[in-house]
Amino acid sequence: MTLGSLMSFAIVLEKTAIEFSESLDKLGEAHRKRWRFLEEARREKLNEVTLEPISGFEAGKYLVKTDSITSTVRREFETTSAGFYRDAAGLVRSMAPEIARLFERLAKENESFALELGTGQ
Amino acid sequence: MALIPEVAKDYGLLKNYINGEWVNSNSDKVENVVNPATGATIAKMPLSTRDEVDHAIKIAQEAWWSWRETPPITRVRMMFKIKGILEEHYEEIARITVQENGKTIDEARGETRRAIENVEVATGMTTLQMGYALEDGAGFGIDEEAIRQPLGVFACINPFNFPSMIPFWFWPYAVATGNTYIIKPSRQVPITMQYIFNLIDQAGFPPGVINLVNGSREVADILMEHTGIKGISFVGSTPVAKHVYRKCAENGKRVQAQGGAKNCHLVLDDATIDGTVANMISACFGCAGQRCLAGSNILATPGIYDRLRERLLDRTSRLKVGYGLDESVNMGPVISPSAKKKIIEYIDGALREGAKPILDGRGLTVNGYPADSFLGPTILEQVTPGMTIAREEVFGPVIALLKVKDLEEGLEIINSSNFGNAATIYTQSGPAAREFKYRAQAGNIGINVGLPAPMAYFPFGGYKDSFFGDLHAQGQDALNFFTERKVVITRWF
Repeated sequence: MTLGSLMSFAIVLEKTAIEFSESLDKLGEAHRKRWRFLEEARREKLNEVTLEPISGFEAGKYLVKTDSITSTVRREFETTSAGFYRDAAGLVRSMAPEIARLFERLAKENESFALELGTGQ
Repeated sequence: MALIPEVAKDYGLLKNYINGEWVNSNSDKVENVVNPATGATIAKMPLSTRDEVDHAIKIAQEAWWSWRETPPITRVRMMFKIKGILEEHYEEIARITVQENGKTIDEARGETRRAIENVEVATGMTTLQMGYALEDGAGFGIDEEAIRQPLGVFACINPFNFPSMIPFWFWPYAVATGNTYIIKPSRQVPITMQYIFNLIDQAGFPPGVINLVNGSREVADILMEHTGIKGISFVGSTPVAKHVYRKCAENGKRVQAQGGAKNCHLVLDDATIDGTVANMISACFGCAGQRCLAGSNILATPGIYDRLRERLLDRTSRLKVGYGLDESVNMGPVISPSAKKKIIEYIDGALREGAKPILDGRGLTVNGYPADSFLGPTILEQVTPGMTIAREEVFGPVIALLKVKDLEEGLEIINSSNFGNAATIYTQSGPAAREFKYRAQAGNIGINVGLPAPMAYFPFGGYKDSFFGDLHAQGQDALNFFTERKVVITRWF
């Protein structure tokens, strides 16, 4: 696993969220913005390319079955994504501190999305 | 892991771009452009004829005066335009670079960013190109001013290791200051610039302002000899850089010729081991070691040597080598089978001279890909400063571990080299770092930074046999290289 592939995974998560957020415009828009931030970060915030392989990451842990889009599934998705971003921030902190900060911010947002979905707001 | 899709499998017969048009070369000589990872031919590049090069120069000369008369703000607006277009096609540029150069997709994305940064700096040309004036500077009622003026047609001759970034070290500054330009890409990696010229065409520069001529050494020679070219920028090996410097001087041209390197990383006892090793691996093995800033000799003091050796070996051996469009890959192939052969010869020679491999990349194979250009990372120890491997540029994924007593011995080794491109110290000591900065004879210094690559607004340094000329690429140096100062003294009777 490389930093690049970690960022690509994050982008895939955001794109998945956009696909099943269409009916929830506010959330869909939020994920679209996050996707853009990740793309920009990948292009503009990596001033040093770090080769060191990242170990201890299992993509499968952060994938949620999204065959049926219920608010429970949606909430689970947001909570699991928050977990991904928190764990990923820890993995990349020494090699890419700006990316770690972005991931932490995204994790907090996921948590608040999950909360909103839970209370139906 | 699935590969990121290639932009195209085959880019066909490449063309020249002259006078705002794509033109087929009349040459009957064509070379294959090969994907170093797959071994597949992905394009054919014409070896342009003398007439074609002469024609491109004539066109650039004819385009010059009206471009020179274009106000700087208008020229800068073109820079903003091309920057926007480049950003839209950022990913395609990076993927094509992987296909023809072999570096990983993250490295190619980083390269694309660095290329675009030069355009970003050039958008500041309205301020950068300002001169200065002093009322009554030459006496009462006599004003004096210095202005910067463009000169004419410039050209660059490019290496294989950065298909997009290196041409961008030059052309944005040249063109933004009012010159016209000819780019000759490397014969090994011409596709990226071909793609970028499609974008330049979209941006709508006036015909003849920026031109592309494909070819080999013959094209380079013509550019260096032609009286219509005011200056040449070159990046490559030291022997060729010296040749370019001499030839351009003989022909009355300005020249900036960046040559080769043998960069040292000096690691003192108090270095922070984790950060140091991570940094070092990227610096030494990034782009498979094919960078003029790549770390090559690791000089470690006694208190840290063993820990460094162990950590370096452990982390380096985990690097995954493969095709750069696989995002899980850390290191791609070298540029060609002949490059691989040359690197292996250096390793073999080092072993004959007494070095020992603690990690040996010579026999690496990558599942599903031909072995032609793949080489694993190699770490040698028991290397002494007199060995060939410690003195000559290898330009591959090979590092040599040398034991040094202290900062003093480290500096002695660094400064004894004929090269002077980069040098890095890893330490927590301010005084040691300052001493290093003060005394190391290298143009790009890193303090806890393994690859001290200057941003576009700084000059790309180089001392001794690593650079020939007076003005470097990028930054203020670029502005000075592409313009001449004119002093004007004015009185009105």
